[in-house]
Amino acid sequence: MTAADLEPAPRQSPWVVRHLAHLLAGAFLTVAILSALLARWLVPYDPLMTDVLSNLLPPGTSFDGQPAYVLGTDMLGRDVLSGIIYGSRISLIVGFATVVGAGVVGTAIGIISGYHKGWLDEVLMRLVDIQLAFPFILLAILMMYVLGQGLFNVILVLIITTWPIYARVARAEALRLSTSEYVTAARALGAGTPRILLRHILPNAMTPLIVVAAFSVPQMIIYEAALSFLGVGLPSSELSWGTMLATGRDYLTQAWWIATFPGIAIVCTILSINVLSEALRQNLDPNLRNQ
Amino acid sequence: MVQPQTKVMDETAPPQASREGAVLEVKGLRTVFRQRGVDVSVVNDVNFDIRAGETVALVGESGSGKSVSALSVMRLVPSPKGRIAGGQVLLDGEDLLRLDEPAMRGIRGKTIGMVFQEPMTSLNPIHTIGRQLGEGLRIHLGLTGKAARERSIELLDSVGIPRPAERLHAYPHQLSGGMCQRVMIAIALSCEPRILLADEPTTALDVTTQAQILELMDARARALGTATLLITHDLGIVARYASRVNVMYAGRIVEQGEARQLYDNPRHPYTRGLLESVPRLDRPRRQELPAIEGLPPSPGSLPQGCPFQPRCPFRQEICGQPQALREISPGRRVACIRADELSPFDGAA
Repeated sequence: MTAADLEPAPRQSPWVVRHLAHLLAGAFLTVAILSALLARWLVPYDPLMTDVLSNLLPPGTSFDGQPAYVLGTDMLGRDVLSGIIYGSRISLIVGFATVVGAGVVGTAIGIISGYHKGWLDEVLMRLVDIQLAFPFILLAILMMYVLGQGLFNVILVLIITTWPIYARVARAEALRLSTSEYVTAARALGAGTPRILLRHILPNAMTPLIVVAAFSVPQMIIYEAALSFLGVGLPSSELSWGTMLATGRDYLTQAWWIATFPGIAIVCTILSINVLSEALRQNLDPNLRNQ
Repeated sequence: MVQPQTKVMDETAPPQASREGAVLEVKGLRTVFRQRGVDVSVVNDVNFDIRAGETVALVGESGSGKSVSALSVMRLVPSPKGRIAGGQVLLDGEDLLRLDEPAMRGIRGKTIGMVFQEPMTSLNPIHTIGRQLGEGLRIHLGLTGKAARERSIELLDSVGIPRPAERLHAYPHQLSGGMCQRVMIAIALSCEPRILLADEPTTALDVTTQAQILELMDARARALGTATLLITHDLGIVARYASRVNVMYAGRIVEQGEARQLYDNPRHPYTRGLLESVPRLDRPRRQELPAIEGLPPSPGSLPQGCPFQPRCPFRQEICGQPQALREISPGRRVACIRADELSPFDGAA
């Protein structure tokens, strides 16, 4: 009681101010996800419709006083805004699906490897080493060439090429945690391997994995773009932020808006995911939760 | 610890069972750790036994192999580096070292409970106390939901935690070290095991809490009829709680016997050194406290013969020969070739 009288708690800023970044990030992601879902009804133009007469128009071009191409048009006269709205579908699906897929596969292999140790660990980690020794793009191109173009194959190939990162991180965590006292205590209580892995090791290993995953989402969006740019990812008829970025690059000096706006969309998505994953991490950690 | 409490020691002590009455009997246990391709013995030919309901102490300094002995009983020696290379761990006559892993899991937590040194880190930081208490109940007794919750509240209450129903939702970091150790004791005793292995249960706690925790552990073990192996480096706490003592040095047991006898008349120079180095009220205050010279040997480079020999004030030529634990009177064993020649112990050097 006395302590409270002497030192009044510092006045907390309003909830909205404290969580402004989270709100903005959440709002942006909601808009992105909604526009991906409702793309068909949101686009002002058919994003694939070419119109050579109105190509390379700068942003804010209007016809008869009516705003027309808000974000301009590309070299074929396609509307950039419509492209971004349509492209968000592919980019978000690829970004999240590959991270979830690679994260689940890599984490499972990593924690089993780190907890089991011994020969199994040796075998699995040599597998990881072999895969990481391959240049990513070479491996991905080779696999895409064999499997053929398409969204599902892009996701599959990106999962196969990126799981070792999660395996490495998860293994390191599992190694550290497997010698922790509470894991020994759980074993002394008769807990079996599945229970120890799922209830004691996995939840405590999540923090670095979430950070890796959050940083991987944008990377996957860019990888998809790279594969599409090289002609082995998505067919050019499919629009994604990556394909737009890749095509716009050639016109950067004449028409900066073609690559810039999809770029801004990618950056804002990355930033939003990072802000939200940081909030998620703080909420997962009981030591930080009550502060 | 301050005042020896005799009532704990004698009348209530369990009837002297024969050696066949042992719940746990460790015979010739040898545990090795691989270091740079060579197996190094950390526990070497260790023998001891615990009778039903009895408290037995395992005393020694850091690195003497006490904890590894306890982990070997549980078959939890960290693999693949460490492994049990020989011996027997008999639980009611059944060798635990021969059981398969699922059978061993059925023993851990159910028949043998364990309390660890660091209460704060022995509890998983991301689960509530209630979840962790429920773990043993679920694994061994199949208790879930309401039944597990009610039993958990009872358990927390039995270890003297106030407002147990609320504490179920607390996280370990919200409790003090002493409280966490009470929770650990509740978890270890949740399935009413026959044996409790307490590995330095009070080392990480402050002195006032230490006494409370030891009292609690003793009271709970008595109430449940659980036998306790008290592992410690603190001879002060041994005197009060254990009926028999095993002194370990460099992975071997160097002396064992009834606590009283061993305290009154230690026969191994190492035990003597340990007892002399405990501050006592009945000695002149200004006198310097004797210490054992030197450092304990590392398991990889044990001296020839008696491992204590380089630090021993009674060392002779003969000490370079291998020493075995030999019985000098019923229940009393010592691994010193010169045990009979040593002058009677007067408590002061």
